Amino acid sequence: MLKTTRREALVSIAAGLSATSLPGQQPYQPATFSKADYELLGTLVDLILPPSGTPGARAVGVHAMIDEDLADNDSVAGVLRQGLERLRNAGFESMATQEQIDRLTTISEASGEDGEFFETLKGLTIDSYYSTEVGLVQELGYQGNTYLAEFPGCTHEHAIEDAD
Amino acid sequence: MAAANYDVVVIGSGAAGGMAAWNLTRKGVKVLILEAGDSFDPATFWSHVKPWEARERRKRGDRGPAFESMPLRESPYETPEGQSFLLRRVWGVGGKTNIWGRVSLRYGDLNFSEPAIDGWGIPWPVRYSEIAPYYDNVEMLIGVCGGNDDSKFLPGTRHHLPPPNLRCGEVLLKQGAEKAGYTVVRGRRAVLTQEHNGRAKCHYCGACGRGCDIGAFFNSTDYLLADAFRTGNLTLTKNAIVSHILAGDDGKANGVRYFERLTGEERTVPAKRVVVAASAVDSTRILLNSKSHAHPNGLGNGSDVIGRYLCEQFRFHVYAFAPQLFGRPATNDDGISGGHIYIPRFESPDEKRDYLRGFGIQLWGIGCGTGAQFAKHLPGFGLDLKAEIRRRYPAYIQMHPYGEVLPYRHNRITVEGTINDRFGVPTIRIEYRLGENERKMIPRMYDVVEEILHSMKAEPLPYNRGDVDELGAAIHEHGTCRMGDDPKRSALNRFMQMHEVPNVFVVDGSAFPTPTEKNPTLSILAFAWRATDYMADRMRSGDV
Repeated sequence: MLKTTRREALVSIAAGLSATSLPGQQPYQPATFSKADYELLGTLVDLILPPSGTPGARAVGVHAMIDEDLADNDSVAGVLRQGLERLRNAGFESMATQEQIDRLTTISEASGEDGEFFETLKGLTIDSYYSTEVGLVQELGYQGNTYLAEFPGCTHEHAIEDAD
Repeated sequence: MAAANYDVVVIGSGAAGGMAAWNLTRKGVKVLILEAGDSFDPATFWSHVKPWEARERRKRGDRGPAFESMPLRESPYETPEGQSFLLRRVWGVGGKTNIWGRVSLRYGDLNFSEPAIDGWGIPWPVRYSEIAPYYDNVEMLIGVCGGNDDSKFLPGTRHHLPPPNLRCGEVLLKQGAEKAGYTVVRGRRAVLTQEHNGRAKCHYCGACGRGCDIGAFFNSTDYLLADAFRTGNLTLTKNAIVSHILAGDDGKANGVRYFERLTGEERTVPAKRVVVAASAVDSTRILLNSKSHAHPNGLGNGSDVIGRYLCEQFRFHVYAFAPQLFGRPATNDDGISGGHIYIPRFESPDEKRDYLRGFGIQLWGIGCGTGAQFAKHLPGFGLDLKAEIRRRYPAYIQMHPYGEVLPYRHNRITVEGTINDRFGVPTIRIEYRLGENERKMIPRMYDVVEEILHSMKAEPLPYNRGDVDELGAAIHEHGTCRMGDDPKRSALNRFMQMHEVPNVFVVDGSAFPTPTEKNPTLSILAFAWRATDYMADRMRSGDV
């Protein structure tokens, strides 16, 4: 299983992220998913949006956000639970990282319940990750919702031909 | 019934009711507004809540103002199986102007004359030359930014505030559309790009949809009701859910019945004159429920047109990327939130084509936004996906065509056989579907979108040609209490006065016989101003 590196943990703490455990606080206690499901979710969201130059989805607590957001959504939570169980039955947790990636690739291209599981999890991961300060500001460079005296608009020249 | 303390009772405090109250009170008329909801406190608006702060706030139980949830609780609506209609309402002081899209487009003679030419619906009783001075007045009062363009599809004005600069995606969209032969104009939006009439200008935080904490875009509360209160002639009763307009045996309105939302108590206020401005759908509900000896089919509805001819716009959305912007550093693309450019209608009635009327294209959501929902449509996962999302983030563009829906007799609001609200008052049923004309317009709308995307070398996200947004989503309901010169085919005269009930005026979007392809609020303000000028004149001469 992938481990959160010390650097990622520090970055996420520095960013003041709510869903991960902060110093002196208890780790997040999942309410919608079992402990085991929650851990596996953490592994999966980090495979979908891994750490690169910026923290990955697990370090910012995407699995905790999903747990929170699905508290009143049994149908979506059910899709995830069943998918997680299928992965577990296939020995996913004990696979090496590359093997896990291969397995997830197969699922991501599958139709049926595996495909639905992957689409659902990917969508939730994207929504959650890019709503955090790490995802939106550090990763994407979002600069909005601030006070500007004037709106500069596009400051570089563009022409359609730039696409050629 | 006790004597009336007010000259006029206005139902609703949004754009239409706010304008009626503003215009009447400044002429010395004593006005009572009955507003179904409460006030919204700008200090609680989420204008400056960063996306990542929202979660913590919600956990603390802070959700910001609930602009839209109350009407559904208090007055739900039903639709036939398989015919959904998205009805979005704001009950509360200022109504939908608290969170509206701010698009402010003049209707032109093309819009006003078309029904008479093509024979669909009834002729508008007003021509552009009659309403143009009121458009001038409204623009000067509220402040509308925009360009200096002028065409028969979109009449120009001398009163625009400077338009905001274009975002990079808009620069490219404009180039692409123009290369494909379409005219692109500056968006016309009721946002203050400079100080106007003592009101603060926009600071480009981009969160207009959550309410503006400084009132830098037109809203009824700050721009109309505040002035009206200053005259000393306005009384506002909040949490007053109007159910009926009462009429005497002479057929004239003589009172308004409402239910106190917080106590549930029924109250009746005497009325010498009534201005109905509760938004198209709720005004219609009130009129249809106002049955009396003199008005067995609802107030002023001997013609049986009230509730019928519900029409607005249908729309769809296409999402794409401008590859010229792939991998560029992210920019602050908030601007005045929403589109800084617009593609007006470009088809004339005399053009050879297989449908009537036409469409315009709105362009919002362009550039770096508050999330990356587009990423769900990108394939794969992992480091490649994450890098691809970052690469595409500044390049995101959207197109949103709005097409006019013809007024059909069968598209209607009714109150018979519906469930009652908690006060025992019938709620509404909405039957609404597109017709042949709209179905023929849709492929052409997709063609134009594809031409423009192709011309700018854009990469669209997957879409299904022919799909349209849920009906009602444009939030521009019209037609259900239309004005016209023929009392057999319309409920209101050209001054929005009921043909059958001279002391009742209906001044919101329900009065418009066609929806046009344009956003209506500027026109609602102009027509409500004109109607209440007339009303005040008639009051002075003793005719109303």
